[in-house]
Amino acid sequence: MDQPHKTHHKPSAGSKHDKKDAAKGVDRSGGKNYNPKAFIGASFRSADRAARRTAEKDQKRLHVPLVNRNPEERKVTAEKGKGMDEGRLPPPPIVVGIVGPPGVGKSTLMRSLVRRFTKHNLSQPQGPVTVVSGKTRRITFVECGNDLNSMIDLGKVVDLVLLMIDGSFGFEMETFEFLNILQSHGFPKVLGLLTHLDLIKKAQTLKDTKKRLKHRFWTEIYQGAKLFSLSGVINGRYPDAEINLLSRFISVMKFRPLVFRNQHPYLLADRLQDMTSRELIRENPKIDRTITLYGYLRGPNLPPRNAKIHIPGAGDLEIKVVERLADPCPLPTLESERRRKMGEKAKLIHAPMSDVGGVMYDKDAVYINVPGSFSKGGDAPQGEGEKMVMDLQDAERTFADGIQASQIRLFGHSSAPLDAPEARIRRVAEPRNGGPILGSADDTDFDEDEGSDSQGEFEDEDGEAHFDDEEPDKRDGEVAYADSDSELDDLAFATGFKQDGQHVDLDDDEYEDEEELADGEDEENVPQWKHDLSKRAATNFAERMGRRRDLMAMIYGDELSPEEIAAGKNRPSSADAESSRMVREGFFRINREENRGDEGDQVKEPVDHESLQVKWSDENMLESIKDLFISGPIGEFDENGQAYEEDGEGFEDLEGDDEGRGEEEDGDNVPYVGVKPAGHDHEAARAAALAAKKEALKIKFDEQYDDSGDEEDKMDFYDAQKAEMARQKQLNEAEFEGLDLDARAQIEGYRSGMYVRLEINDVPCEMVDHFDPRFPIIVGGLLAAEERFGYVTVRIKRHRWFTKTLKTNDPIVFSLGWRRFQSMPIYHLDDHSIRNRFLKYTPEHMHCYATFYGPVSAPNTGFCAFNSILSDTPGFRISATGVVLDIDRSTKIVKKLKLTGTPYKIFKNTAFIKDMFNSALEVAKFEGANIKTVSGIRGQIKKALSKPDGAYRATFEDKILMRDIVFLRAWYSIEPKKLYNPVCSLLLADKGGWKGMRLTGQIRRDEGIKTPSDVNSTYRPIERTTRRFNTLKVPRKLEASLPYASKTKALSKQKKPTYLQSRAVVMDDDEKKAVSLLQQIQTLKKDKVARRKEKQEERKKEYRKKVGEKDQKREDKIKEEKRDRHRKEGQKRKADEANEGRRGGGKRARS
Amino acid sequence: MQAGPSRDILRFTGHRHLRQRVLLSILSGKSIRVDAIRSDDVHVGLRDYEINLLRLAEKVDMIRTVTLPHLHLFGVTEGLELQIKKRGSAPLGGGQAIFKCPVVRHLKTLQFVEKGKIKKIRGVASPGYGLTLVAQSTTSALHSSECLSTSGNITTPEDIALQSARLLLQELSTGGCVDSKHQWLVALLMALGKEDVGKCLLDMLVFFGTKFKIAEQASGEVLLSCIGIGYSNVNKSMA
Repeated sequence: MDQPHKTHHKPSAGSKHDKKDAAKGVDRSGGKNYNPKAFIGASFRSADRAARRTAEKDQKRLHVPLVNRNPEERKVTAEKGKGMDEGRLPPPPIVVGIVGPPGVGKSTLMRSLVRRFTKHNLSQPQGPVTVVSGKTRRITFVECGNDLNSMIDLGKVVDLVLLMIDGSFGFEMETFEFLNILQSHGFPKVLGLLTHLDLIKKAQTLKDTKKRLKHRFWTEIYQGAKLFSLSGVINGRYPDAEINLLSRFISVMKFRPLVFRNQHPYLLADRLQDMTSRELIRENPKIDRTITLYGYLRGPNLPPRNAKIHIPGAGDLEIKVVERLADPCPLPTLESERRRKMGEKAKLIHAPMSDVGGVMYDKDAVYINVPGSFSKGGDAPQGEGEKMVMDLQDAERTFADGIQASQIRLFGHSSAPLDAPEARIRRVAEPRNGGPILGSADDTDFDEDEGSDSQGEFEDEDGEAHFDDEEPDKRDGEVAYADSDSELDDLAFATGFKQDGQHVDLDDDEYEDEEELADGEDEENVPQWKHDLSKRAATNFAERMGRRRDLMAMIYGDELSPEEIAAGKNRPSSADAESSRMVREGFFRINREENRGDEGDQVKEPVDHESLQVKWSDENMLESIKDLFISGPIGEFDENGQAYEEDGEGFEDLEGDDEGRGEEEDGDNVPYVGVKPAGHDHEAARAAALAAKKEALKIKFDEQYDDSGDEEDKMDFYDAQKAEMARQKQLNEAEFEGLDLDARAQIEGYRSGMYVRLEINDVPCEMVDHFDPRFPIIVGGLLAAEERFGYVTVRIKRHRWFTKTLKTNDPIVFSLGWRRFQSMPIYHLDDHSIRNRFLKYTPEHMHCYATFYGPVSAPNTGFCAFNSILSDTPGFRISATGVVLDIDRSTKIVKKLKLTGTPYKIFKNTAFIKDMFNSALEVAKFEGANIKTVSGIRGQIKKALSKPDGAYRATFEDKILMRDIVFLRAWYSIEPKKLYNPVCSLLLADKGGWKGMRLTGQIRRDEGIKTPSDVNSTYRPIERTTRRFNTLKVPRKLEASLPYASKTKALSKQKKPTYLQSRAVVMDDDEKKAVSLLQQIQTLKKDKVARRKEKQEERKKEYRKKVGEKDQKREDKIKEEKRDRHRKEGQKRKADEANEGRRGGGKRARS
Repeated sequence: MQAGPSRDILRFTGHRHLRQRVLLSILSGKSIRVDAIRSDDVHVGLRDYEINLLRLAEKVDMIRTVTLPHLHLFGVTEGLELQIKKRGSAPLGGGQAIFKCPVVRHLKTLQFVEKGKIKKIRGVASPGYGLTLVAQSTTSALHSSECLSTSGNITTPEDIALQSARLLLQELSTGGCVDSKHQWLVALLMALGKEDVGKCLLDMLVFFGTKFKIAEQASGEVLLSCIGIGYSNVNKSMA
């Protein structure tokens, strides 16, 4: 009844409205322009949809946060001369693999790209080619051959794949194989490139082809993957515009770290040298070689000592020496950065295996005469790094000399310049034994050195204190160099460390001294003040010597034995050095010990109770540690936690303690724990202290709940995780920042981005003899666990494009981790979570497990497997893919085993069974086991019998029959065979021709041997005689005594006809009529059915004929198609073969 | 040519650090050989407890209150417990403890340089045996001391209490974030950690090592930093 009232509308105009506006502070003076509702969606629905979309996009963006172990790329700011942090190690060049079938235009693309980036025309690019692509990025191009080994190896190291597809032909099997290899080893970025499109003449066909290929490409990579088209070749290169576009894509591409590469250091070798002495090779050409490999390190840090590596195709090896070299292809420096465009000089190329500048790669040495390489005698203006390396060639002093000459240990160096130093790190070469190395040292006044040579006198003043390779002649002239340096830098020398805690502090002292001296004295008597300084420093230092020891040297150096260190010795005596050699091996080393005491490995040490009692009864002693407690001296509450950390105030602590003590002394005696009761006369002081404490607490509280709390809360899990990673990364970089380069490498290893030289011993001579730059050499670092061998359990699935099923114990080639090897897997499947049951074949469309013997890899590592890696294998070669599950050998694979026996004597429920075992001992092992007859009567083995060997007594739930077969169901555990056959393709002259272990069948086929057949294994027709049962005969006597019901009822045959047979039927007329009518109807019906059937048969015949014709036509068509295809294939093969014979290199002319 | 891994055996002498040696040899997959175990002793060879690789009985309280919290630092937290069922003393033993520890794949990177201030001291006394004192700081650094009635000539409870209090003071006075008895454990776990920089402040240094950066502080404490080798428990199978 009651109608709803009209809703209230707020006034949108008028005085009331104006009043409200005024109250709210809304300014409508803008008139129509002011619209608070602008940019708000018109409808709720669209707004909702937009919100959902953004939320979805946000979630899609998220990935599991991964640490990037490579250094960050440089940031170039628009500001002139800024943002080029040259001191920092740049990331290694991006590895771009050019992959595709032969003849698709890989070398052409490589030439085009190299030309685009460096203006070099490579006639025959071979091996990795590194170019500088911009101010922040370098790229290594590698061409990937068409053999499976190269594809597998490169797939594991490339960051970006340029996948080349012949547009006129379509996808080839290798392309798909390569993509599947990538999938199982972590998917790098893939860019598709269509070539040979100029061969398609018709525009519509071209369009259709492109579309078809694009969609096929998308299903393989992801929807919307980038696919470029390259049109025809001009001057042996692709058109510049297209290459420009492509290069721009490559230059800005971002990469996500891949898990495996984040855990394993690796290197793509761009140069190989044989270091074995010629004489040794002459004596024995097959001698194991010592080689050096050069390349940029990637991934996590490479351990500095005895790093275990695997070179795919060559085997497991150990690095003997790692040396950091000058970057052969450095990024442009500040100088060239002044212009927006990168200078031509900075466009370097490093391709030792290719033909750059007319000099070919040689097995033993490489000489490249390109401006930018560090060769002597070139008149081209030299870059910074180049200059350093060239200067190094003049170096006379070795690092060892420096150590020898050092006299006083543990001392800060006085390299601080007179004006406030700008803390910046720059790489500086430093001399060392074993050839030129580009190192880095903390060189604070580099800027001044380089920037203005006019400050000569300034440099002279402290130029001796630090090494500066910019002026090698100056340094060489100095005799005092080592001495003076040893006083100041001895710590750094002895340990490779500058211990911040002291040297900064010392610096500060000396800094003032220096200033004074510099003011007061002339430059001529520098030796004088230096002498003075060293004396003063020595006296200063001697006081602290008691407490300060060079811990690193004591522990890691091998001059002192633990006992000596414990005794307080600091210097090794020559006899001691001899006696105390340390056992040193890989990941842990242990000092020599004496064999005494019964405590063994007890954690606890014996304590001297008396001395403890004396010590801790002393009030002063107790007072001294008061500040360790939260209830300790109030005044120090705030800062003391940090005091001991601050480098500058190394001795602040003691003073602090003194102060504290002083304070307390004039106060009162307090027990060591508890709140200090303040004296009455110190009311004011106490109040002040309390206020300070409160203030501190307030600050702490604010910190916890106000600022940081807010930010932390706002961060979701993902952001928090990323922030944590960034923080850790920063910490990683900062921690060893100030260290001497060599020492730094000793602790944290060689970092990603360094150009290093690896010396490797005991390399098979074939690797050098059959070296071919077209096949990549990859050095993959192994983790601690990965050198071990064991049984690896994997989850495996036969690849759906591989046509055959895989059989247990057939050897297949795995590509797992860095390795490629042949092994013999056993397939198995989980059976009701009770056992792992052996499978003879892999199941269809389903994962199963496999266990094989091989190198251990971390769980979750992906792999792919091949039955054959030969290139002439027909069809798709990847036979299976999967992932490592565990390596702990806990999986026991079992096979069903049925033992059968027959009863030879049967009692009621007991029977004697024979023929199941051979001896009583075997029976004893199975006592109590469950057995069963074929008919299903269950039983148990009881005890062995003495008479027939292996017979036993068994009981059953019912009486069994003599003809019953008794069987015992058992599980037999099987172990995989220990085959590990590494695919040593790099050691072969024919790199693609590696043949692994053959199957027995293959060997027989190859050798023409007939399969031996066992007589018992041949099939014979089974003759089964029908079983005849005799009639039951009951003896007459027994018959007579039986009760009637049990007597056999022998019935004689019916002789007379029965009533129904013998009766006469008399019908009346009606009945007769009815019967005849019925008969007629029956007859008619029969006739009708017969005719209908006949007709149907006719129709069917017709239909069959028609169908037959159709089938015939289809079959003909299929046959025709087949013939056509075979003909085409034959032609193609013929053309290939012809081309093969013609080119000898790697090219195939397109027909 | 390289089918098998090249193994060379590490040789040691003496019975010291036997547990650690065996443990590390398992972790690194290297064979070790220990010679001359108590060769000049009356009872040559290993003791029973060494064969069992256990010597918990005496120190259950310390393990529970100090060792386990140190494992917490490395991310081994959930499901880590030590239940003490029965207590026993040295000559006869007879104690019973149940130790549960989760299996982890990686260890966390440790950053522990703030030793804080001692905020509380707690202890566990077991009648007739001894006393374990644990001091905890504001940053959860733990220091402990233990005194048993069997050690030395201390017999009265008062003596034990005094003695352990003194030991604790001694321990505290040396400083550091880690109890001196657990330095080896912390250093080892740091070395096995992720490929990141770990930092820890110790009082005095014992032996060890994948190389550490060792910076001695003015107060005689030692700041230890290292990059872990990224040891991953490959034996933990995929869930």
